[in-house]
This record gives sequence, C-alpha cells and structure tokens, in this order.
Amino acid sequence: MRIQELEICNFRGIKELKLEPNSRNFLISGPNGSGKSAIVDAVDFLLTGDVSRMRGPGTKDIKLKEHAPHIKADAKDCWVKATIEIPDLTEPVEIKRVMDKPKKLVCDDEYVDVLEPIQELASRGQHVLTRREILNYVTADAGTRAKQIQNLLKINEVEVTRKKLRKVLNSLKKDSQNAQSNLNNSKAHINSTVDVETFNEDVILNFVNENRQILGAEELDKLDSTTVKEGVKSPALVADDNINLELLEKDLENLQDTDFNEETGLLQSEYLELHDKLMSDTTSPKDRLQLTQLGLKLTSDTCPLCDTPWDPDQLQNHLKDKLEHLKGVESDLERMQELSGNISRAIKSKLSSLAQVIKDSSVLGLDQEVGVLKVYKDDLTTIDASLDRDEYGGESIPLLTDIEELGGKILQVAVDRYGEPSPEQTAWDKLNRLEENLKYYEENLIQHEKSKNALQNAEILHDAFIESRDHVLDSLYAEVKDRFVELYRQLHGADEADFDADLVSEGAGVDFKVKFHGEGKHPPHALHSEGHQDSMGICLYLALAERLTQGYIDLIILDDVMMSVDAPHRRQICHLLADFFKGKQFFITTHDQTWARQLQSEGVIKSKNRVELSNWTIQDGPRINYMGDIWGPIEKDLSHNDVPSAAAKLRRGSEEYFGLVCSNLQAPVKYKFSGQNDLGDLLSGAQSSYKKHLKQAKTAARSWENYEELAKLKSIEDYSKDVFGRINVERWAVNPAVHFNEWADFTPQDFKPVVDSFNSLFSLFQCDKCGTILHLVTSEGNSEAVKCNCGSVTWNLKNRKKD
Amino acid sequence: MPEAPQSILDEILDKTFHKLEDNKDFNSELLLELRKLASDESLQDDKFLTSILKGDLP
Repeated sequence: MRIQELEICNFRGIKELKLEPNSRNFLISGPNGSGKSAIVDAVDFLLTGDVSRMRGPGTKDIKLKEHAPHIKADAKDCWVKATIEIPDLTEPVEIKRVMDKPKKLVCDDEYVDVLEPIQELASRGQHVLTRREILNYVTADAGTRAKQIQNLLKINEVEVTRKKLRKVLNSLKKDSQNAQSNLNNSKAHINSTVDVETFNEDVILNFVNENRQILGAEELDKLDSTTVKEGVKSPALVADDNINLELLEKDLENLQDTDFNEETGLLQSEYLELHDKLMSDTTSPKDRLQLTQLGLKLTSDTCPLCDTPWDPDQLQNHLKDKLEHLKGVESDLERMQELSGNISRAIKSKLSSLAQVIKDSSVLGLDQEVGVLKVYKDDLTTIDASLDRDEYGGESIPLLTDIEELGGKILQVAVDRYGEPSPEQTAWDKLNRLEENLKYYEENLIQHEKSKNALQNAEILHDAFIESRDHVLDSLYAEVKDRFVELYRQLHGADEADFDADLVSEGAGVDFKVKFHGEGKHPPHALHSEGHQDSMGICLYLALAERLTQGYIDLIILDDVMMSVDAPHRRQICHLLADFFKGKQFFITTHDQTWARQLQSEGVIKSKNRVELSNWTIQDGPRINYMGDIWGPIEKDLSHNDVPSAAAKLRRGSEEYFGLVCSNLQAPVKYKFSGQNDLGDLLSGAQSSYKKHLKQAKTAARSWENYEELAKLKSIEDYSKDVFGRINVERWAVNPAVHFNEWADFTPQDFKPVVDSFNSLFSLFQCDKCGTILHLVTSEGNSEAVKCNCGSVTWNLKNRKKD
Repeated sequence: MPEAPQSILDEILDKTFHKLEDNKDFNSELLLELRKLASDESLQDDKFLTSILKGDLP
C-alpha cells in the first residue's frame, strides 16, 4: 500500500492540508512545533483508528476524541482521507476515517476485505520509526538496551506477555506453598490426636481400628473420614459439648511438655547464631550466593549483569571460584533450613493441642484462661507463619510460664464437671476428633493436589512460551541480521567493510553485539560512537520493517529520526533509502534543513514531493510552503504578471539550491554567525568552487594523457563561462524585483531572461540523467573526484604520479 | 490480498500451544480455554489466566 494523495482536516495542529505524494517518497520539513508529527499522527489515525503517540506511559489523561481534533473542531469535522495504491488493484482506492466514528474505515464495500490485512498490520505500528525510539535506543544503558531494542522492533508485547506468565507462575507457586503449609498443619493435628511424631497412614489406620474395636465395630482396611465412625454406635452419654478428660489431659501434657521449651530453645539459638552471622556480614553473602548461582546458569560470552564481554570458560570458572568461597554460606543456609523445619513441626504440634484446649476451656466457661491461651496461640502462630514464609529471623519461641498451674485448673474443672470417661467414651471421642482432623486433611490434600497441578501447568506453559519465543525471535533475528549487516556496511563503506553482528534472543531480551574493527564483537554502546549507534538503530529498524510489512504496507514513516549521523553518512543513508528500498514509499519528517536538502539533492525526494511547515498558529495551524520544482510556479506567476512573486520564489529557491551546492562541493562561503547566507555569498562560493574543480580535473586529465576527457572538460568549461557570464549580468535583478522599487518595475518579458539564466546555472551543477547535485569525493582530506550519484558525471581530480 | 501474516506474538503463542499439545504432562482440557484467551488478546489478564490454570473456570 502506498499513498497517492493525503487530505487532513481539523486534525491535531492542522486545520486543512492536502499532500500529493503520488506513491513516491515524501518529505515534510519544518522547525519543532510546526506540525510535522501531526501529519504522521494523521496517517496513523487513518490506518488504525488510533494515534499511538497518544497511548502509553504519561498519556493517562489524553483522550482521542477530546484531544485529537483541531481546536474547537467538532469530531465529525475532524477527518483524514487518502487515495491509496494497492498492489494487484488496477484502480486506486479512496479511504477516509472520521473522528466521530474512529473505529470505522470508510471505503467502498468491495475493498473492505482487501483493506483488512493492511489495517491489521498497521495496528502493530511496525511501519513507523520515531525519533524518541531511536533516542531511547541510543541512550539506553546496558541494563535496558535489550528492552529498547525490543521497543525499536515493536515486539514489546512479547515481553509484556512473558512478564504476565511469570507473574501467574509466581502466584501459583505461592498458592502451592500455602497449600503445602496447610497440609502440614492438618497432618500435625492428626499426629497430635494419634499421639505420634511422624505422619503415617498405616499407624493412623491402626489407631482407628483400635478404637473401633473398643466400640465393637468392624476393622477398616482404608483410611477415610467418611468411614471412620461407620457402623459405630455412640456411647449414651455423648453430648455435643462433652469433653473427654483423657484427650484433654493428653493435650495439656503436650502443652506442658518441658522438652518442647528445651528442644526448641536449642534449635532457635543455633538458628539465631547462623542468622546473625549472615546478617552481620555487610557483603550480603546470601544474596551473593543466589546471584552467583543464577549467574552460572545465565553465562554466555558476556556478564549477565553488566554485559561486559568475557571468555565463556573464563567467566564460568570465575563464578565457580566465587561459589567455592561461598561454600560455608551454602552449608549454613542448609542447616538453617533444617533447623527451621524442626522448629515448625514442633510449633504446629503445639498449636494443634492448644486449639483443642482452648475449645474445651470455652465449653467449661473458663474465659480468663481462654484469653491467656489465645494470646499464646497468636504468638506461636506469628512465628509459625514467618517460618512458612521463610522470613524467620531467629526470634525466641514464646513460652507460657504458668501453663502447669493453668492446665491443672482446666483439668480440675473438667474432672469436677464430667468425671472420668468410660473407655468407650474415650474411643468415641478419639474417633470423633480424628474424623474432624481427617476431613481437614482430605480437604487440604485436594487443594494441595489442585495447586500442584496448576503450578505444573503454569510451569509447562511458561517454559513452552520461552522456548517458542526464543525459537521465533531467533529465526526473525537471523533473517533480519543479514539485511542489517548489509545495510550498515553500505552505509559506512570501506570504514566498516568487515562489519558483522550477532543478534540472538537472550533471556527476556536481545543479545546484540557488533564487530568493532577486528577487535571482536561487543555491545553497540561499548566502542561505537553515538552516530554509529544511531545509524545501527536505523538499519536495524529498516531491516525489520522490510521483513514484517512486506507486500502489505509499502509505506515507511521516519519521524525525525536523523540525529547524530554526520553529513557524509547521511548521504549514504540517502543512497540506502533510494537504492535498497525501491519498492517502499518513505514519509520522512525532519526539523533539519540540511538533511532535508540532502534528501532532495540525492534523489530520495523528488522536488515536487516536499513541503515545509512554518509559523504554526493555534487558529490556522502551520503555514505550508510547497517546495516543489520552482520553475513551474515561477512560469505561472509570470503568466499572471506577478513578477515579485516569481522573483521571491527564484530567490528563495536559489538560496536553497546553492546552499546545497556549496555543501556538496565543500565551497568556501563567508561565515555568518546567524547561519543565514545571502544568495550573493552562495553564488560566488559555488561558482569559484566549480571553476577550481574543473581546472583541477583538466590538469588531471592532462597528466593521464586522457585527451578525450580533456576535450569534454574544455567544452563544459566554455559552456559554464557563458552561463556564469550571463548570470553575473542578470543576478542583480532578483532582489530589487521583489520589492517593487520604482526603478526596477519589471514586466514578465523583462524578467524572463533572468529566470532562464538561473535555470541554466542550476543545470550546470546537476546531472542530466539522475538529477542529483554534483558532490566532491574526498579521501583523507584530499579531493579525489566530482561526481553525481549515478556516475554519469565523474571528474577525476587526481593526477597521475610521476615515475 | 491474503490475510495479514501473524504478529510475532501470535506466532510465538501458536508455537507454544503446539508444544503444550505434545506435552502429556500438560492438562489438555485447558488448551481450548487458553487458545480462546489468546484469540481475545486477553492472555495478559493474569487473574483470568490464573483461574484457568487452577481449573476454576467452567
């Protein structure tokens, strides 16, 4: 798809504008704030129904319908229209989008299907490169460069998806840890009821059958909460609020266990010692250990942290040495893990009994004791939670100092109220409690299984995405890399003849390395200048845009992307755009007049296909100067007897043209601080430079005894003398004619010879075949030739060396 | 003119789903839901994705 005509009405800073690129490259120049990017936004809106610059970070309060129309314009009066050329269609297609219905692209029904893939591709934004993206890429530090390359390649949505998958994975990991912790708790409750230290289903089944036997029920061969009391008759005295003294006594014994204080005290003090040792080390050994272990996994030929190049084996050995030094830390951490596991098990068992004693004490109406026990329970729960979260800092395990007295009182009140239970009652109570414990355990087992499966699925999904991403991006990078290298070599010529690059996905980013003058491959910012990085960004983008938009959107928009690239390399970029992307239509915006002139003089932009925006006002938008071929409009002015307008165009066009000639031929021009040279200075510089190079070319031809070339140069010289002679007679007329001075009130007939003289002068500096302005070729400061782009004009300036 | 080529992300997701199909450890019942989520461009809705992986959605 290419644009033949573009019409913009009441959009952003533009009131009304019509451009006619005719499917060719188009240039929009003008200072900052003159409305150039509004044209880019308009094309964006036309193709996608949105303006990408009004989306993203910092644009929260910006609304398309509210902020895209020109000031005070109604949404229905804000529109963008274009006539586009689509491959395989013989007739151009007219498309339009109006702000009041931004989702709808208005076109003939017969073209809806054909326009769909174009809109789909446009929505990915890969046909637009902005200055901000290049700037972000060039100024990115080592840590964010990979991300900026992804932004440059417009594939950041891949990274967004990866992060979401990682987030889901982490959340399910946490769920799974919680489920595991709940399962351990429920096992601890069962262990406490059965009065064992280790969870064992056979032992629990034995416990069930022993108690069922006391109650005269059949033996079970399977542990299941629904069958624990199956076929068991409850003892007559059973009531909902009954308390079994034997079980209460056992729970109280567990609470009063002095071994607990001693054992957990020892575990805690050893843990605390190791914890303090790690924490007091200001070099953060735990973090360093984890980082080094991770680093070993990620090593390639650069440091995964700072991107410094390394020999892979050397880096591996370096990290292994570091790990060796951290061996002690690793062993301390393993011991701490063991200690925390033991403390956790002891606390969970204590909590299980504590919950039962609190429940029984509530039944007995011992509110004060319940209050004390609840505080103790909360303290233990806090430590337990920190152990589960791996955040335990070796805090003391809380003790209940008067537990013996408290327990004694609870038991006494229970004995007074309920008396000694029968063996049947005790068996019934035990089965009751185990049934409750088993239900809790079974629920947690289901949750644990579910969370384990979810985690496994999330891990498989995440890993499959990463593998697929690396595969797809590596294939893409491999395809793009060769073209990138080709474009970059073309751009930098002999300077970078052996340039090469690596472009492979690495982790979440892109490992991008480029060869630096036989000194190995390094990240682009390591050794290359900002200008080289700038041109790398452009080449990388062009290579990718070409691959991703092929055959659909032949339009590539370069929005003010030229920054640090110097003049000779800019000329090479012009060649790149003109010669390597013949099937593409470039829309180029720039605030840089030199670059704008270069694009024109190097043939990337035809003279008709350029507008200059200036003097933007809030009411009327920018003033638009059509910078096309000046001769046609001048003829038109003269046919309307408007000599001042014709003279103004001739003067302005000549200043523009000879500024470029002086730049191309490296002509000496009187320096002015304002940078505004008048036409007289530029004409003198251009003429003297032309004469000097022609003379030099003649001397060179003589030295090579190339008499045919010498004759040709002499004929050019004769013709140029005639042209220079005429221009020196006529040029005085340009300035006075602009101002209607009484003594210089020209008629069109008077002014016509002036125009013809300038026309002949322009043609002297231009190739008849390719239309480009001649330029001086130098090497190491020496003038070598004067050439045009196609080579039809080549004046050799180098003399033959004398033997 | 044929359909627009897949975006890079779609290409990656397509490949991902093929890998999941071939992985016998992955719950194949989730695949349909994941494909639906990807085609709605809502794979980046982490809460929805979590629910699918946990089997909480019908």
